[in-house]
Amino acid sequence: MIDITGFLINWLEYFAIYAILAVTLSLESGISGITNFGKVAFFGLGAYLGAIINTYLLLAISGVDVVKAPPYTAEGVIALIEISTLNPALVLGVFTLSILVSFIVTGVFGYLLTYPIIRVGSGFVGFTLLCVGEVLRGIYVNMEFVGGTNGMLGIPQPFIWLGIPMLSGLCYLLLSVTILALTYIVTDRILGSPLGRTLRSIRDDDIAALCLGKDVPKIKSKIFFLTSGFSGVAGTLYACYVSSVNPQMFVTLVTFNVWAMIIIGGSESPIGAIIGALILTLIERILPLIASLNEYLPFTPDYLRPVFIGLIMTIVLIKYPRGLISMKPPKFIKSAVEELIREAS
Amino acid sequence: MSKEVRHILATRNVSKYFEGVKVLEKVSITIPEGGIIGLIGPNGSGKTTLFNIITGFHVPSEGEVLYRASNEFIRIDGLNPHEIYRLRIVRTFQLPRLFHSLTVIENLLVTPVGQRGESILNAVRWRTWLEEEKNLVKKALGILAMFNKLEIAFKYPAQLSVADIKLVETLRGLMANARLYLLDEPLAGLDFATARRLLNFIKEIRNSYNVTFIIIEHRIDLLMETVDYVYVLHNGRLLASGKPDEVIQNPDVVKAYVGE
Ligand SMILES: Nc1ncnc2c1ncn2[C@@H]1O[C@H](COP(=O)(O)OP(=O)(O)OP(=O)(O)O)[C@@H](O)[C@H]1O
Ligand SMILES: [Mg+2]
Repeated sequence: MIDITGFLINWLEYFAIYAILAVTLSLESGISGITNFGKVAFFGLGAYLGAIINTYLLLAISGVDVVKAPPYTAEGVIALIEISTLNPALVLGVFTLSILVSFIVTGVFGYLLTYPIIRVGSGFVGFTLLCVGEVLRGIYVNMEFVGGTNGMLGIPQPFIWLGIPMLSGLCYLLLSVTILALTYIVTDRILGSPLGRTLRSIRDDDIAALCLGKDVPKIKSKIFFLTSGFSGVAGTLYACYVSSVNPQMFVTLVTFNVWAMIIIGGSESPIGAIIGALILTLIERILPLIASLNEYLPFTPDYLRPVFIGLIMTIVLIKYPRGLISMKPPKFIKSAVEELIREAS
Repeated sequence: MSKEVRHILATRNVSKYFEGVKVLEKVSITIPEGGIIGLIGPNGSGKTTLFNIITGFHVPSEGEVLYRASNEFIRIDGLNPHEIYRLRIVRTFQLPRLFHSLTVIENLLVTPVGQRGESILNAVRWRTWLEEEKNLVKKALGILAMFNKLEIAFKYPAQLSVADIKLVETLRGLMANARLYLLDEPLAGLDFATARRLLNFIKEIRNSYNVTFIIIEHRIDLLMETVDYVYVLHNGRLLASGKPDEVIQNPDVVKAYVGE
């Protein structure tokens, strides 16, 4: 029998994590015009930061010698399991810290990256960022203290001490959805603000925006700090959810999955990004179920994923060329104008 | 011009070459504060290029551009466009560059620099910027109402007539609280009544705020009614300058426009 609750929690967890990525991608690429083909770089960096803090720091605070029993060895993993079931306050504290550190470090990383990249022609930005993602992956592979190609296991899920997997999963889901909500609210408010208008003007014609006094590189850098920071947090959430990281998890395909989400949902709308994430993560979660029926299928299910995603994209784009949800001008301007028109007449 | 006149802008021997082709040659103009100055000349004489140099679009190959920032003159050639804008010099484009995904009213609202709601921290707290925004909306609507254009407030540039696009481009510039406005052919394509209204509006702004205008225009008849002083460019060189009626009668100018 299929475990419906377990399936729902699992799907919604993936959804929350990917929706954070999709919402921030729509802000940086759909609205601000920074073509980010390196989304996975920030996601992966956040995941590795989360992995490092939630293992090394946790072990060190608990008095385990991380040189003798580093977290990528069996002893390390066993020690982590023990700590994470016995010391809830410590686990939660370190986890909270890892979320904050991830936001700041990944954000600053994004901010600093904009210095070289925003000054190259806009067409090259995407590919420069794509390379950043690949370079980071190369670094993880070659760093022993994060487990090299094998990566790290045993990263504690911060609610594991609850003892009931369903319950700890639910708590973690609530936390992830809260962070998604925060990301959404920030993005939505930026969009409806004068800053959102300025961002759209820059995307439309950066030279004209420059002539209207907008410091285009600076504005883009700040936005990229914010979106990168949130992507890093999504990475940490992911690492602690699946309890492991390895370089294979952060391939460029992840980036294009997120792109597919905003293309389907509508790249200028955070709600669209969320809908896109909902649809694509559902497909991703259903595919393993289909794959488990392998022996009854007349074809290998491996190819279903690209076929599904391609099909959905084609159908949506034929009907809605700009994605399911499109941009609307902020509401209150409209009401202010109607009021004034009424006054005038 | 008398001695007491304060100048706001001057170019000194400004030249510009594009890949060896000389487009401007030793152009020196001085612009009195509070003036409405015409810049005329046949097609390709270098008028837009001079605007591009003043607004930081191009760096002059030779010469300098001076601007009275507070009480002393500073060199502004070589500054970035957004830095020049922050010195409150605003230009409009000959070929309008409206933001295509913004409505007309948003195009006007985007202009004022340093809006409170443009910082991330304020943007997420709408109470910090709502008042300012409402005032800007009122100002923008007031301007549109003056030209009987309230009905285009929510249209996108692609839905406008060519004349309206041109008008919005100019009005967008006028939304800024600038000290010096550079308008590149603001009357192009406008019907006679609208063109008159725009010129009157410009005069009104000048009279109320003592700001300065430099206007490039081919509709010389209309322009001459409005401006205090005219510079004439021809083949990248300053051909003549003076009061409108003097310039119009200048045989060199007539020859430049009509040909030999
Ligand atoms: N970026 C550029 N590269 C090369 N040549 C240019 C460039 N910009 C302008 N020119 C040339 O410089 C000359 C002057 O152009 P400019 O646009 O300043 O003329 P203008 O006086 O504004 O003319 P119009 O009345 O037609 O607008 C033209 O011959 C033009 O082709
Ligand atoms: Mg021109």
